[in-house]
Amino acid sequence: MEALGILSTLPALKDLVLRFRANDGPFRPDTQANDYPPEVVLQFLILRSLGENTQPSPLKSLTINNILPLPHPYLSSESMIGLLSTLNHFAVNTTSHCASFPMTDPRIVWPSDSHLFQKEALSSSLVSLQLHHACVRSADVVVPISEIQLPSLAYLSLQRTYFSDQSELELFISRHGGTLVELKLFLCPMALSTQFTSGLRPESFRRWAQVWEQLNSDLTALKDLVVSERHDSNGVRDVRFGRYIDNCYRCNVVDLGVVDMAADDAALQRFLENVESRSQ
Amino acid sequence: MTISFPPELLGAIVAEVHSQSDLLRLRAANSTLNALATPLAFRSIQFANTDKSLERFIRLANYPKFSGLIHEVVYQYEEADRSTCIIFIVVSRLTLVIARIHSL
Repeated sequence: MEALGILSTLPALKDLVLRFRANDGPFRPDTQANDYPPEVVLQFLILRSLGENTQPSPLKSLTINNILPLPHPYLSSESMIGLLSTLNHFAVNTTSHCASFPMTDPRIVWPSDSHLFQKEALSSSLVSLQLHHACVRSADVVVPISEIQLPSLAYLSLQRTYFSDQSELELFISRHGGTLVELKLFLCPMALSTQFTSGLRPESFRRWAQVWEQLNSDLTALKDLVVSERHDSNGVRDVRFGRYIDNCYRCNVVDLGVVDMAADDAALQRFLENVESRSQ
Repeated sequence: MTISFPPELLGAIVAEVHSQSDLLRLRAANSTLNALATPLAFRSIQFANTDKSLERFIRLANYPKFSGLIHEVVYQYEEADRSTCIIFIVVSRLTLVIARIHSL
Protein backbone atom coordinates (compact mmCIF):
# COMPACT_ATOMS: atom_id res chain seq x y z
CA MET A 1 0.00 0.00 0.00
CA GLU A 2 3.06 2.20 0.39
CA ALA A 3 3.28 2.17 -3.40
CA LEU A 4 -0.12 3.87 -3.70
CA GLY A 5 0.84 6.46 -1.09
CA ILE A 6 3.72 7.43 -3.36
CA LEU A 7 1.39 8.29 -6.24
CA SER A 8 0.63 11.74 -4.88
CA THR A 9 4.35 12.55 -4.84
CA LEU A 10 4.81 11.93 -8.58
CA PRO A 11 4.72 15.45 -10.08
CA ALA A 12 3.90 14.44 -13.67
CA LEU A 13 1.41 11.65 -12.93
CA LYS A 14 -1.75 11.93 -15.02
CA ASP A 15 -2.99 8.38 -15.67
CA LEU A 16 -3.66 5.55 -13.22
CA VAL A 17 -4.61 2.05 -14.33
CA LEU A 18 -5.71 -0.57 -11.77
CA ARG A 19 -6.06 -4.17 -12.96
CA PHE A 20 -7.52 -6.08 -10.05
CA ARG A 21 -7.47 -9.52 -11.71
CA ALA A 22 -5.35 -11.27 -14.30
CA ASN A 23 -8.52 -12.00 -16.35
CA ASP A 24 -12.33 -12.17 -16.05
CA GLY A 25 -12.47 -15.96 -15.69
CA PRO A 26 -14.13 -17.73 -12.74
CA PHE A 27 -12.75 -17.03 -9.30
CA ARG A 28 -10.92 -19.93 -7.67
CA PRO A 29 -13.39 -21.97 -5.60
CA ASP A 30 -13.21 -21.15 -1.94
CA THR A 31 -11.99 -23.92 0.27
CA GLN A 32 -13.16 -22.48 3.57
CA ALA A 33 -15.91 -20.21 4.82
CA ASN A 34 -14.71 -16.59 4.93
CA ASP A 35 -11.82 -17.47 2.66
CA TYR A 36 -12.08 -14.60 0.22
CA PRO A 37 -10.12 -14.63 -3.04
CA PRO A 38 -6.84 -12.75 -2.55
CA GLU A 39 -7.43 -10.51 -5.56
CA VAL A 40 -10.68 -9.24 -3.98
CA VAL A 41 -8.99 -8.59 -0.64
CA LEU A 42 -6.29 -6.66 -2.50
CA GLN A 43 -9.00 -4.75 -4.38
CA PHE A 44 -10.44 -3.66 -1.03
CA LEU A 45 -7.05 -2.71 0.36
CA ILE A 46 -6.10 -0.70 -2.72
CA LEU A 47 -9.42 1.17 -2.82
CA ARG A 48 -9.09 1.81 0.89
CA SER A 49 -5.59 3.17 0.40
CA LEU A 50 -6.79 5.47 -2.41
CA GLY A 51 -9.75 6.53 -0.27
CA GLU A 52 -7.43 7.52 2.55
CA ASN A 53 -5.27 9.69 0.32
CA THR A 54 -5.62 13.32 1.37
CA GLN A 55 -3.26 14.87 -1.20
CA PRO A 56 -4.66 16.88 -4.14
CA SER A 57 -5.36 14.66 -7.13
CA PRO A 58 -3.07 14.90 -10.14
CA LEU A 59 -5.13 12.43 -12.16
CA LYS A 60 -6.69 13.12 -15.54
CA SER A 61 -7.44 9.50 -16.40
CA LEU A 62 -8.45 6.55 -14.23
CA THR A 63 -9.01 3.05 -15.61
CA ILE A 64 -10.25 0.34 -13.26
CA ASN A 65 -10.15 -3.09 -14.84
CA ASN A 66 -11.56 -6.41 -13.63
CA ILE A 67 -13.17 -4.85 -10.57
CA LEU A 68 -15.67 -6.91 -8.60
CA PRO A 69 -18.67 -4.55 -8.40
CA LEU A 70 -19.10 -4.49 -4.67
CA PRO A 71 -19.87 -1.19 -2.93
CA HIS A 72 -17.15 -0.12 -0.53
CA PRO A 73 -17.32 2.75 1.99
CA TYR A 74 -14.05 4.23 0.78
CA LEU A 75 -15.43 4.65 -2.73
CA SER A 76 -17.80 7.33 -1.46
CA SER A 77 -15.29 9.00 0.85
CA GLU A 78 -14.45 12.68 0.38
CA SER A 79 -10.86 11.81 -0.51
CA MET A 80 -11.96 9.38 -3.20
CA ILE A 81 -14.36 11.95 -4.68
CA GLY A 82 -11.50 14.45 -4.57
CA LEU A 83 -9.28 11.98 -6.40
CA LEU A 84 -11.91 11.57 -9.13
CA SER A 85 -12.79 15.27 -9.34
CA THR A 86 -10.05 16.13 -11.84
CA LEU A 87 -10.67 13.29 -14.29
CA ASN A 88 -11.27 13.75 -18.00
CA HIS A 89 -11.44 10.01 -18.66
CA PHE A 90 -12.98 7.40 -16.38
CA ALA A 91 -13.25 3.72 -17.28
CA VAL A 92 -14.77 1.01 -15.10
CA ASN A 93 -14.64 -2.56 -16.37
CA THR A 94 -16.37 -5.02 -14.02
CA THR A 95 -15.40 -8.66 -13.75
CA SER A 96 -17.49 -11.84 -13.44
CA HIS A 97 -19.29 -12.56 -10.20
CA CYS A 98 -17.66 -14.07 -7.14
CA ALA A 99 -19.53 -16.70 -5.11
CA SER A 100 -18.08 -15.31 -1.86
CA PHE A 101 -20.07 -12.11 -2.47
CA PRO A 102 -23.55 -13.19 -3.64
CA MET A 103 -24.71 -9.67 -4.50
CA THR A 104 -22.17 -9.54 -7.34
CA ASP A 105 -24.11 -12.28 -9.14
CA PRO A 106 -26.06 -10.54 -11.93
CA ARG A 107 -28.83 -13.16 -11.53
CA ILE A 108 -29.64 -11.65 -8.14
CA VAL A 109 -31.53 -8.37 -7.72
CA TRP A 110 -29.09 -5.51 -7.21
CA PRO A 111 -30.26 -3.19 -4.39
CA SER A 112 -31.60 -0.04 -6.06
CA ASP A 113 -29.72 2.26 -3.68
CA SER A 114 -26.36 0.51 -4.05
CA HIS A 115 -23.84 1.67 -6.60
CA LEU A 116 -20.12 1.14 -6.87
CA PHE A 117 -19.69 4.92 -7.08
CA GLN A 118 -22.04 7.68 -5.94
CA LYS A 119 -23.12 10.40 -8.38
CA GLU A 120 -20.62 12.85 -6.84
CA ALA A 121 -17.80 10.58 -8.04
CA LEU A 122 -18.44 11.50 -11.66
CA SER A 123 -16.82 14.85 -12.15
CA SER A 124 -18.32 17.54 -14.39
CA SER A 125 -14.90 17.62 -16.09
CA LEU A 126 -15.43 14.15 -17.58
CA VAL A 127 -15.12 14.04 -21.35
CA SER A 128 -14.91 10.29 -21.72
CA LEU A 129 -16.79 7.57 -19.83
CA GLN A 130 -16.51 3.81 -20.25
CA LEU A 131 -18.75 1.30 -18.43
CA HIS A 132 -17.91 -2.24 -19.50
CA HIS A 133 -19.15 -5.44 -17.91
CA ALA A 134 -17.82 -9.00 -18.19
CA CYS A 135 -21.41 -10.31 -17.93
CA VAL A 136 -24.77 -8.64 -18.61
CA ARG A 137 -25.38 -6.05 -15.90
CA SER A 138 -27.14 -2.77 -15.33
CA ALA A 139 -25.30 0.54 -15.72
CA ASP A 140 -26.64 1.40 -12.27
CA VAL A 141 -24.32 -1.17 -10.74
CA VAL A 142 -21.49 1.29 -11.35
CA VAL A 143 -23.15 4.70 -10.98
CA PRO A 144 -26.72 6.00 -10.54
CA ILE A 145 -27.02 7.14 -14.16
CA SER A 146 -30.51 8.63 -13.71
CA GLU A 147 -28.97 11.30 -11.45
CA ILE A 148 -26.02 12.17 -13.64
CA GLN A 149 -25.54 15.00 -16.12
CA LEU A 150 -22.04 15.49 -17.48
CA PRO A 151 -21.82 18.80 -19.34
CA SER A 152 -18.73 17.89 -21.40
CA LEU A 153 -19.29 14.21 -22.08
CA ALA A 154 -18.14 13.53 -25.65
CA TYR A 155 -17.15 9.85 -25.63
CA LEU A 156 -19.28 7.05 -24.19
CA SER A 157 -18.55 3.34 -24.41
CA LEU A 158 -20.81 0.62 -22.98
CA GLN A 159 -20.37 -3.13 -22.95
CA ARG A 160 -22.86 -5.84 -21.86
CA THR A 161 -24.97 -3.09 -20.30
CA TYR A 162 -28.62 -3.89 -20.83
CA PHE A 163 -31.30 -1.55 -22.12
CA SER A 164 -34.97 -2.00 -21.20
CA ASP A 165 -38.36 -0.35 -21.30
CA GLN A 166 -37.80 1.07 -17.81
CA SER A 167 -34.06 1.57 -18.11
CA GLU A 168 -32.58 5.00 -17.53
CA LEU A 169 -29.71 4.14 -19.86
CA GLU A 170 -31.41 5.35 -23.03
CA LEU A 171 -32.44 8.58 -21.31
CA PHE A 172 -28.88 9.02 -20.03
CA ILE A 173 -27.52 8.78 -23.58
CA SER A 174 -30.22 11.08 -24.99
CA ARG A 175 -29.59 13.60 -22.23
CA HIS A 176 -26.01 13.95 -23.50
CA GLY A 177 -27.07 14.26 -27.12
CA GLY A 178 -25.74 17.81 -27.46
CA THR A 179 -22.16 16.86 -26.53
CA LEU A 180 -21.67 13.20 -27.45
CA VAL A 181 -19.50 12.82 -30.55
CA GLU A 182 -18.74 9.12 -30.15
CA LEU A 183 -20.97 6.29 -28.93
CA LYS A 184 -19.82 2.67 -28.74
CA LEU A 185 -22.14 -0.18 -27.76
CA PHE A 186 -20.59 -3.63 -27.46
CA LEU A 187 -22.89 -6.61 -26.88
CA CYS A 188 -25.61 -4.53 -25.22
CA PRO A 189 -28.92 -6.47 -25.20
CA MET A 190 -32.50 -5.28 -24.77
CA ALA A 191 -34.10 -6.93 -21.73
CA LEU A 192 -37.79 -7.58 -22.33
CA SER A 193 -38.39 -7.66 -18.59
CA THR A 194 -36.59 -6.33 -15.53
CA GLN A 195 -38.98 -8.01 -13.09
CA PHE A 196 -37.20 -10.63 -11.02
CA THR A 197 -40.31 -12.70 -10.34
CA SER A 198 -42.04 -12.55 -13.72
CA GLY A 199 -41.49 -15.51 -16.01
CA LEU A 200 -43.88 -14.27 -18.67
CA ARG A 201 -42.92 -12.30 -21.74
CA PRO A 202 -44.49 -8.83 -21.40
CA GLU A 203 -47.04 -7.77 -24.01
CA SER A 204 -45.19 -4.56 -24.79
CA PHE A 205 -41.51 -3.91 -24.58
CA ARG A 206 -38.94 -1.54 -26.05
CA ARG A 207 -37.66 -2.42 -29.53
CA TRP A 208 -34.21 -1.53 -30.80
CA ALA A 209 -35.86 0.21 -33.76
CA GLN A 210 -37.47 2.64 -31.28
CA VAL A 211 -34.15 3.18 -29.50
CA TRP A 212 -32.28 3.91 -32.74
CA GLU A 213 -34.97 6.34 -33.91
CA GLN A 214 -34.91 8.17 -30.58
CA LEU A 215 -31.11 8.38 -30.44
CA ASN A 216 -30.96 9.42 -34.10
CA SER A 217 -33.18 12.34 -33.19
CA ASP A 218 -31.44 13.27 -29.91
CA LEU A 219 -27.72 12.77 -30.64
CA THR A 220 -27.24 15.82 -32.78
CA ALA A 221 -23.45 16.03 -32.43
CA LEU A 222 -22.64 12.35 -32.94
CA LYS A 223 -19.91 11.66 -35.51
CA ASP A 224 -18.88 8.11 -34.67
CA LEU A 225 -21.20 5.21 -33.85
CA VAL A 226 -20.16 1.62 -33.18
CA VAL A 227 -22.76 -1.08 -32.50
CA SER A 228 -21.21 -4.52 -32.12
CA GLU A 229 -23.41 -7.59 -31.70
CA ARG A 230 -20.69 -10.18 -32.16
CA HIS A 231 -17.45 -8.96 -30.64
CA ASP A 232 -16.54 -7.27 -27.40
CA SER A 233 -14.35 -4.18 -27.21
CA ASN A 234 -11.23 -6.37 -27.42
CA GLY A 235 -12.44 -8.07 -30.59
CA VAL A 236 -13.28 -11.33 -28.80
CA ARG A 237 -16.34 -13.04 -30.28
CA ASP A 238 -19.24 -13.79 -27.91
CA VAL A 239 -21.51 -16.46 -29.38
CA ARG A 240 -23.96 -16.25 -26.44
CA PHE A 241 -25.08 -12.72 -27.29
CA GLY A 242 -28.69 -12.09 -28.25
CA ARG A 243 -30.15 -8.76 -29.37
CA TYR A 244 -33.13 -9.40 -27.07
CA ILE A 245 -33.08 -11.29 -23.77
CA ASP A 246 -36.14 -12.40 -21.82
CA ASN A 247 -35.03 -10.95 -18.52
CA CYS A 248 -32.07 -8.97 -17.21
CA TYR A 249 -31.43 -11.69 -14.60
CA ARG A 250 -31.84 -14.89 -16.60
CA CYS A 251 -30.56 -13.50 -19.91
CA ASN A 252 -32.15 -16.16 -22.16
CA VAL A 253 -31.94 -15.06 -25.78
CA VAL A 254 -35.30 -14.21 -27.41
CA ASP A 255 -35.76 -14.44 -31.17
CA LEU A 256 -38.42 -11.94 -32.24
CA GLY A 257 -38.50 -13.12 -35.83
CA VAL A 258 -37.31 -11.81 -39.16
CA VAL A 259 -39.76 -8.89 -39.49
CA ASP A 260 -38.88 -7.26 -36.17
CA MET A 261 -35.16 -7.82 -36.65
CA ALA A 262 -35.36 -6.26 -40.13
CA ALA A 263 -37.10 -3.20 -38.66
CA ASP A 264 -34.30 -2.89 -36.08
CA ASP A 265 -31.64 -3.23 -38.78
CA ALA A 266 -33.30 -0.60 -40.99
CA ALA A 267 -33.55 1.90 -38.12
CA LEU A 268 -29.92 1.32 -37.18
CA GLN A 269 -28.88 1.76 -40.81
CA ARG A 270 -30.67 5.15 -40.97
CA PHE A 271 -28.96 6.17 -37.74
CA LEU A 272 -25.52 5.07 -39.03
CA GLU A 273 -26.01 6.94 -42.31
CA ASN A 274 -27.04 10.09 -40.49
CA VAL A 275 -23.99 9.90 -38.22
CA GLU A 276 -21.71 9.23 -41.18
CA SER A 277 -23.06 12.23 -43.07
CA ARG A 278 -22.22 14.39 -40.06
CA SER A 279 -18.64 13.16 -39.88
CA GLN A 280 -17.82 14.16 -43.48
CA MET B 1 26.81 6.17 -36.02
CA THR B 2 24.14 8.40 -34.45
CA ILE B 3 26.28 11.52 -34.98
CA SER B 4 25.27 11.70 -38.64
CA PHE B 5 21.56 12.01 -37.79
CA PRO B 6 20.01 15.31 -36.70
CA PRO B 7 18.49 15.16 -33.18
CA GLU B 8 14.95 15.71 -34.54
CA LEU B 9 15.24 12.60 -36.73
CA LEU B 10 16.71 10.53 -33.90
CA GLY B 11 13.91 11.74 -31.64
CA ALA B 12 11.30 10.68 -34.18
CA ILE B 13 12.89 7.23 -34.46
CA VAL B 14 13.13 6.74 -30.70
CA ALA B 15 9.49 7.85 -30.34
CA GLU B 16 8.48 4.82 -32.40
CA VAL B 17 10.06 2.44 -29.87
CA HIS B 18 7.34 1.27 -27.48
CA SER B 19 8.95 -1.64 -25.67
CA GLN B 20 10.30 -0.55 -22.31
CA SER B 21 13.13 -3.08 -22.44
CA ASP B 22 14.19 -1.72 -25.86
CA LEU B 23 14.06 1.85 -24.54
CA LEU B 24 16.20 0.84 -21.56
CA ARG B 25 18.75 -0.69 -23.94
CA LEU B 26 18.75 2.51 -26.04
CA ARG B 27 19.46 4.54 -22.89
CA ALA B 28 22.64 2.55 -22.41
CA ALA B 29 23.93 3.09 -25.97
CA ASN B 30 25.26 6.66 -25.69
CA SER B 31 24.47 10.02 -24.15
CA THR B 32 22.36 11.27 -27.08
CA LEU B 33 20.12 8.24 -27.08
CA ASN B 34 20.07 8.29 -23.29
CA ALA B 35 18.62 11.80 -23.33
CA LEU B 36 16.00 10.86 -25.93
CA ALA B 37 14.97 7.46 -24.55
CA THR B 38 14.93 8.19 -20.81
CA PRO B 39 11.67 10.21 -20.70
CA LEU B 40 9.93 7.53 -22.78
CA ALA B 41 11.35 4.60 -20.80
CA PHE B 42 9.91 5.91 -17.54
CA ARG B 43 6.71 7.46 -18.88
CA SER B 44 4.58 4.43 -17.89
CA ILE B 45 5.54 2.29 -14.92
CA GLN B 46 3.87 -0.96 -13.94
CA PHE B 47 3.92 -2.68 -10.58
CA ALA B 48 2.35 -5.84 -9.24
CA ASN B 49 1.56 -7.47 -5.91
CA THR B 50 4.97 -9.03 -5.52
CA ASP B 51 7.78 -7.89 -3.23
CA LYS B 52 10.28 -7.53 -6.08
CA SER B 53 7.92 -5.44 -8.21
CA LEU B 54 6.87 -3.20 -5.32
CA GLU B 55 10.45 -2.61 -4.23
CA ARG B 56 11.42 -1.62 -7.78
CA PHE B 57 8.47 0.74 -8.11
CA ILE B 58 9.05 2.43 -4.75
CA ARG B 59 12.77 2.81 -5.47
CA LEU B 60 12.01 4.38 -8.86
CA ALA B 61 9.31 6.68 -7.52
CA ASN B 62 11.61 7.92 -4.78
CA TYR B 63 14.43 8.72 -7.20
CA PRO B 64 13.92 12.39 -8.22
CA LYS B 65 15.61 11.99 -11.61
CA PHE B 66 12.95 9.48 -12.69
CA SER B 67 9.88 10.28 -10.54
CA GLY B 68 9.24 13.48 -12.52
CA LEU B 69 9.09 11.50 -15.77
CA ILE B 70 6.30 9.13 -14.68
CA HIS B 71 3.01 10.06 -16.38
CA GLU B 72 1.21 6.73 -15.97
CA VAL B 73 1.18 4.13 -13.22
CA VAL B 74 -0.30 0.68 -13.82
CA TYR B 75 -1.11 -1.80 -11.05
CA GLN B 76 -1.42 -5.33 -12.39
CA TYR B 77 -2.63 -8.12 -10.11
CA GLU B 78 -0.47 -11.19 -10.51
CA GLU B 79 -1.57 -14.68 -9.59
CA ALA B 80 0.70 -16.04 -6.90
CA ASP B 81 0.60 -19.18 -4.84
CA ARG B 82 -1.81 -19.01 -1.94
CA SER B 83 0.82 -18.68 0.80
CA THR B 84 2.48 -15.72 -0.97
CA CYS B 85 -0.93 -14.02 -1.28
CA ILE B 86 -1.73 -14.58 2.38
CA ILE B 87 1.63 -13.17 3.47
CA PHE B 88 1.14 -10.15 1.19
CA ILE B 89 -2.37 -9.53 2.57
CA VAL B 90 -1.23 -9.88 6.17
CA VAL B 91 1.66 -7.46 5.59
CA SER B 92 -0.69 -5.01 3.81
CA ARG B 93 -3.15 -5.15 6.70
CA LEU B 94 -0.38 -4.64 9.23
CA THR B 95 0.82 -1.62 7.24
CA LEU B 96 -2.68 -0.17 7.38
CA VAL B 97 -2.96 -0.83 11.11
CA ILE B 98 0.41 0.81 11.75
CA ALA B 99 -0.58 3.81 9.60
CA ARG B 100 -3.83 4.09 11.57
CA ILE B 101 -1.96 3.97 14.89
CA HIS B 102 0.40 6.71 13.67
CA SER B 103 -2.55 8.90 12.69
CA LEU B 104 -4.12 8.68 16.17
